[in-house]
Amino acid sequence: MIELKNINKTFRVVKKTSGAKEAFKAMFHREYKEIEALKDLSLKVNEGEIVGYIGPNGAGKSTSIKVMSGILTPDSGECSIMGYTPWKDRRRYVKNIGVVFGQRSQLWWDVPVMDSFLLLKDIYNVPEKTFRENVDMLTEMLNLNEFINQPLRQLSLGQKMRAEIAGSLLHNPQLLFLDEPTIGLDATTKLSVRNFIKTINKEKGTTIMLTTHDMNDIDAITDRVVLIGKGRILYDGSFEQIKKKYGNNKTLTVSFENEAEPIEISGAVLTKIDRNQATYTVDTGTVSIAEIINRLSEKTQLTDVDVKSQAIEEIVASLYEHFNIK
Amino acid sequence: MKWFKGIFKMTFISELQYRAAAWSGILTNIFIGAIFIMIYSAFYKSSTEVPMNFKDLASYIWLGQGFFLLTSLSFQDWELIDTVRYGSVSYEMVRPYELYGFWFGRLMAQRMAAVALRFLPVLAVAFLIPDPYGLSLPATWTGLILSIISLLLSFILATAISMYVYIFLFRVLAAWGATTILAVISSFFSGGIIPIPLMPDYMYQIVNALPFRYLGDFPFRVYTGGIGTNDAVFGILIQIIWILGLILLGRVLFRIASRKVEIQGG
Repeated sequence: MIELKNINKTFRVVKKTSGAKEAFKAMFHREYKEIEALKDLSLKVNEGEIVGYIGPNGAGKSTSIKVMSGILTPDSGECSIMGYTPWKDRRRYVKNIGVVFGQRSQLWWDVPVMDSFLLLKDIYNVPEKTFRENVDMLTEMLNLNEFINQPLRQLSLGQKMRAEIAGSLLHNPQLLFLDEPTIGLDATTKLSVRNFIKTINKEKGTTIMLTTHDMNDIDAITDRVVLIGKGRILYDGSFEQIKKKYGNNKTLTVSFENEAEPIEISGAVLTKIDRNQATYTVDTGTVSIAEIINRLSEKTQLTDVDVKSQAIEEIVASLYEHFNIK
Repeated sequence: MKWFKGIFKMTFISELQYRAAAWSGILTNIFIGAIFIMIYSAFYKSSTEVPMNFKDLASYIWLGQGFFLLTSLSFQDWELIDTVRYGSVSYEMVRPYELYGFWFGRLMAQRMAAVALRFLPVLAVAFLIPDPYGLSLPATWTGLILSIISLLLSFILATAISMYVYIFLFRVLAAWGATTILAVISSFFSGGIIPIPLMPDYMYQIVNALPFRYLGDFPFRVYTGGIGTNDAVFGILIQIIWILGLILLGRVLFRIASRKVEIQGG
């Protein structure tokens, strides 16, 4: 479906300085610096896959999505998606893809959502029957009913996002790019968007590339993640693996009967101590939780033990740290 | 061409939502028309030699007000301008159309919708004003038909000129300056401030070398009969040449500018 080979993209940006004096200077003389947004990016995605594309801000996620959707032309490299080179065959290629940029809007601001859909229908030349079917299906799955006849400007963020996603699927694209589709959404809307993405992938076989900063999205939707940092692909594989590799740290909170002196245990780092409660960080790669509890109970009378796994966000933070891309 | 109808409808709906703006626009046009007529009637009383009779001048002014948004280049698509400014232009680029053609259609549909909503009330009021202060009937039937053809071409011409704002926008990301300068130049050289027949001879040469008079002055004077049938046909040909030239050049410049586009805001 998607094949990227050694894609490079460099931006030349004006070196901006702050302050009125510097801004005035910049009117006459500008300094430029080069930013390597993508470096030797290669990637392969098969039909029907969902790929979670992660990486810190400014890593090159959006840039690569823009290259893949034909908006930007890379400096060098090859790209073949469904047999097209996006930036060369742009008009023929984009008929087959749907794109949602979570931070932007493709629907008309002042007119009812349904009118925007009708215009998209004309733009993509969607047959009446297909259009009706899709609108019905999307309306039901994304609960658009309550607001489909309201102008976009009156909708809440969650409603808007659902409308945007529906708008990108009216023409039955085989490939869907979702750039931060859950940004700013509340818990319920997030859940329904996640479910929707899974369903559309399963039922229509739509290949999906998804970027997000919410790792729970990834956890819920897909197992294949591609990690990008500083314009390079650093990891491509299963999310479970990441969790196993970087999610070894567990937090152990123990309560004991009497006030006690701080107890130092090898293999565990004491992070907090209260009157009769202590918190340790344990690297389960080197020592097991059972072992630590054993050693603790030798020294004091335990009344309660609580073990917490790391939050996904923390795992990913340590992953970023590992690759030095924080 | 289906999407053109779609966009036209869409713009019409959008425009209808801002009824207050439309009504106040109409009232402003009527008010300004009346003021112009009063000023010129004072001038005419003290002059003996005039290049255009007062009745025609009144029609000229009323047509100018009725079709104000046709000739006005300060009328732009600010939503589209923001699109480039804030990066939503990404969405434009993932659509299966040629950007220049689609934006052209979009801008033209908007201009047509905005004018369609406003010109009738203004002209109707102007018709009711008694002679010689109101809008008179056209001089001849041929004149009427030729002026309608020329007015329709004006929509294309105004859009072709407008497109340069968007080409410029790709490079500098701020459309205010370009729009304002263009709007002032075009309203002056299309006879929106001083009717072109009243301008001195040397101005006439400058005016003739620019495309702006074909936006308003030319079709209005074909209507009043100030420009005869032969000259009118010839003028329409020149209008078409301007349109073709501006579109051809604009498309090339647009391609170059949009290829270098950088998407703003991540």
